[in-house]
Amino acid sequence: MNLPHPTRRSVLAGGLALGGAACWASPMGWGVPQPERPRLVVLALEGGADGLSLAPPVGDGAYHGLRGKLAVRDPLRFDADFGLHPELKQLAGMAEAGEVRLAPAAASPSLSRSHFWEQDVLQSGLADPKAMQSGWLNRAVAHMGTEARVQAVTLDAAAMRATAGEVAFASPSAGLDANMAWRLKELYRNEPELLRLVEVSQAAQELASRGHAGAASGEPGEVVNARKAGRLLASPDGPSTVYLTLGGFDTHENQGADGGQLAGRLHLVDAVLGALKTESGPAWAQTAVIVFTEFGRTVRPNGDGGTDHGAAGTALLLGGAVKAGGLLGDWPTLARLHDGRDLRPGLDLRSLFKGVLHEHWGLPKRLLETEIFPDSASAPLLTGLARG
Amino acid sequence: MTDKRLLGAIATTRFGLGARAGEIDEAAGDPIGWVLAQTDRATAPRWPGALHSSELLNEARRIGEMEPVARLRHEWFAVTLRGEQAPEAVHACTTAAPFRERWAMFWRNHFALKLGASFVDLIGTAFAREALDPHLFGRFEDMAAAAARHPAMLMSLDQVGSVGPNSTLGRAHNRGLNENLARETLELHTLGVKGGYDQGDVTELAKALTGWSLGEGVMHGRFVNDPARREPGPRRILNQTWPETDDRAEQIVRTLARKPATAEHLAVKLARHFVADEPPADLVKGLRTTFLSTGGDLGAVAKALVTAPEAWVREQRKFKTPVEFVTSVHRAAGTLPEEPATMLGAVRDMGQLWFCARTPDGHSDRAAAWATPQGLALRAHYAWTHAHKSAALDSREFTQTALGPLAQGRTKATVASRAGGDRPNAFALVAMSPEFQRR
Repeated sequence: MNLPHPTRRSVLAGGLALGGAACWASPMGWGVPQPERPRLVVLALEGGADGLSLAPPVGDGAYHGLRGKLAVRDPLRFDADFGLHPELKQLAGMAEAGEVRLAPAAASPSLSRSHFWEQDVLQSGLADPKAMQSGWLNRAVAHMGTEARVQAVTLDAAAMRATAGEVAFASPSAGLDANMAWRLKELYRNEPELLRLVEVSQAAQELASRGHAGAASGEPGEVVNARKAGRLLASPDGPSTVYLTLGGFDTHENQGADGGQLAGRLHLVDAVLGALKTESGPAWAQTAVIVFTEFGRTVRPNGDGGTDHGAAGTALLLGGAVKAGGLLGDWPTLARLHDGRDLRPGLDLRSLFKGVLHEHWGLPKRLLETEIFPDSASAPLLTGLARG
Repeated sequence: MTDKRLLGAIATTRFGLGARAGEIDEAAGDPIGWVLAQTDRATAPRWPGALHSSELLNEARRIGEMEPVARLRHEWFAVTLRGEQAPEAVHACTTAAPFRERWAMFWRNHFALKLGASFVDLIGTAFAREALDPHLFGRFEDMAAAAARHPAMLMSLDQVGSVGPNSTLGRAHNRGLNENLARETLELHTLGVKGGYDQGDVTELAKALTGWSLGEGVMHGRFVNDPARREPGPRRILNQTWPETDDRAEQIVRTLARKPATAEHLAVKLARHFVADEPPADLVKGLRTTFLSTGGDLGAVAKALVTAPEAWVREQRKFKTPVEFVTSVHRAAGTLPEEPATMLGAVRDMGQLWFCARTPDGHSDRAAAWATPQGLALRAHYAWTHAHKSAALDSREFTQTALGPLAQGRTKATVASRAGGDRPNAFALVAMSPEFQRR
């Protein structure tokens, strides 16, 4: 069998020695807490979120004319040139506190307008996503040298490309209870690979069960998950990274503007980001959140009151660890469009990913250029992203 | 006779879908023969009364037009989808021809339909019945041609809106190509990603495929070959020139399906599915040779696979997918969940869909995709909840049924220590044993 190997670091780390009976002698068995360590949340908006609604370019004279009925009428303030959708109230609060950076025209290097291809590119971090099986986030975590038993967490049911690789991403929403874990460890005594999965799963379960849920009844599952993620980030010995996904952004029909279908999804985005900040508490100061989507959407509405697959879209970098500053990348304006229909790219998303991993996580540039984003020479690393 | 029983256990787990009561002994008499008896070409359709894909699509359109309440439209869709898919899950858990079903599952994954495009999931089952099942042990080119032009594939890979820019329709409405189906036909269905084609071949094939679309009016939901969409002129693909004819697109797909690169691509995938994530080179070579020497006869390829010594080694080198795990639990216990759709939801939670896939390259056939902490936890939960329920067996019989001579001493001892009162745990532990997680 060819299971992913535990990282060198996780094996060496205090908590996760394979067959490390000593670690299990203590009731919790956690590794050495690192309260100051940086945390990274990656939130993928799946389906191609409409950036021109998420952060409408109110300062661009062509916006209302091109967008017609889909133009956001009453946006919240971001800066002089960009607003935020009226449903993004908590995000607007964070922006006011200088915790939000906006990339108004972020794109993958390929601009294929294909969900499949673009997600593959952006999750693998490779212009040629077939070149490796793993995802950039997994490769980055593998080089973090964290002491935590649970290094990385995903709350997504499907095995995502972004989290694929040698580090086992735990899921606290599907952990093993102590009884079953104990029995499985007995069963897997000669099976180091399966044993490791049990240990990570059990550790995730224990981690997630700390503190009370604090979720309002009837809260959507996505927000409940975000609360869990926030609590994990708050744990001094919690994971370094959490990968989250939110679907439902492929708005080909009846997209709406200030209200309507897309507004509902953006309300959810706001609730998720708000829950992350609230639940992570003091750890928010060490947290950076990347929000991205596989592509933006056509600038003009289509025939169904929606928008079709486009080119550049909106990405966000936010959190207590983020340095206040201007736009990430350029705003190419709506005066001239890609193929006459789509927003032109003003930033290669890999530049943002690399910049965050370098400044926030301290991964060396050479490593980022060679192992984590090996074919990204055309996407120079962004600087000035993280608070010192 | 132990050796025979071991081979019987391998036959039912590696080639079948996990042993049912008595199946290991049944296969042990003639393990290879037991498998090959399931490769008969002339078998009756599995669901004689099932709706045709065009009927399903027409019904969906009728509901869409007639039913004003969105909630009721969605309900119809969900109920119909469940009615299509749940019997497939039940069939996998109960069939007496499990190799045939595994083989069918392999080809469904090879020609995976991408979830999300309108109504593709609704006709995913019908696609398998109409395009794949008739050719399971026939010629690969027949299957490839049937799959490529099926409405489900045309919708899944956006062929429906692809129009030749210089065709009648293209000129009149300023329409153009969508190369998705062309690219995936080359990359996923035939030659493979390193199969020796370039972007020029993709574009040329996309032009050749123009005309293939879905009909309107009385032809709604059916394949049409519309000359008004066809890009005029000869096409040049892989150094071969194709003059414009009505059946050119199909002939090109058939030609691609016979290429050596296709044989190599399929041989690697089959050996990986049945034997090991990193398949033995000799086995790949053997399958490739058989494919090429028989003109892509899948029955002959199946026979080459089943008679290869590399396929019968005792070591279990494959980690079960969620579908394989859930199926094998119910086969061993001789049970089904009270609500069969439970199985569909459970495997979805584990990251796999019974029909369709998140992406057109299908679900992974490697352990790395499935041997995850949450995957293991969800399996344990499923086994604990469902394995013991309404099973007429005790836990020792369950162990013997499921694993026979594959059962390890540690598993037997662990189960024995709980055989008394702790029935859910005893069953779950058998299902979670390393030898049951693998095949």
